[in-house]
Amino acid sequence: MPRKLVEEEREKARKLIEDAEAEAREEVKKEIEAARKEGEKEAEKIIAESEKKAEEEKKKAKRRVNKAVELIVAQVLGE
Amino acid sequence: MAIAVQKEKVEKIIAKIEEDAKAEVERILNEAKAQAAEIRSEAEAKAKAKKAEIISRGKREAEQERARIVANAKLRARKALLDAKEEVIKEAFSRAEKALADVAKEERYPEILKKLILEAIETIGGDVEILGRKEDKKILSKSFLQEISKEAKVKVTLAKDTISSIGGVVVRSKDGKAEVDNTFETRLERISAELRSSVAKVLFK
Repeated sequence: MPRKLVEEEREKARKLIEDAEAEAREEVKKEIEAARKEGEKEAEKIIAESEKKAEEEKKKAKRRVNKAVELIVAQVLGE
Repeated sequence: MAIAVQKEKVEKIIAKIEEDAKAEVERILNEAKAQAAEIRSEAEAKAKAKKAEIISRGKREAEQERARIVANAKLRARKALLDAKEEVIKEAFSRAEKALADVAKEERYPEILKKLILEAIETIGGDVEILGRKEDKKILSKSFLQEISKEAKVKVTLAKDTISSIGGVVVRSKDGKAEVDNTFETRLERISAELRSSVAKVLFK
């Protein structure tokens, strides 16, 4: 009977540790998933902002294309 | 009488044995209970520590995952911006090539040809022949070449071969060993790499 009591307790202990690990892993899984979602949200924002910025830069630059063309032509002609 | 006394002694001994055995059982049981409690307590501590360790590692992993996604997005964003700039730079060069093709129709074109020929003669440093476009045959007249010849103090002749180009000339040494390609497109190609940063400065200042 005392031996059985100790054995049972050892079994309970093993189960307790196992359960704690499983619980922690589940928690980690959720945490990683949340971090991924947060990252993706942040990424979307970064991409949207950069696309907007790229478009603005392009618009501004296109207004200066004629100057750039003049520069290239002058350089090619050695002026 | 003696038997009764004996019986009483035996009973006392039995009671003592029973009492000792009971105490021993209780002791063993208590020991087992204490051991069980110790196992439980150790397991609880171990479970707590293990959980904390897994969660802490997981938190680091989660942060790394978030940071990886954000870093990727930043790279993509940077590339999008560079691509947009590249698109305008390419447009500038492409429009410049078209503009250069138009230069060949302008009044100043003969002067430009003269300058390109003189520049090539300076590099070659001797008598040369000019390979021009069919369309420029009129410009590259004898008198035009004589004028250049006089200025450069070398013999300048027109080659029989012609070139296909948007404008400009190819100048070749008389012995054919040296050649300067001063067509607009080749000159553009030659300087485009070093011109890129100046063009970018004009476009994105």
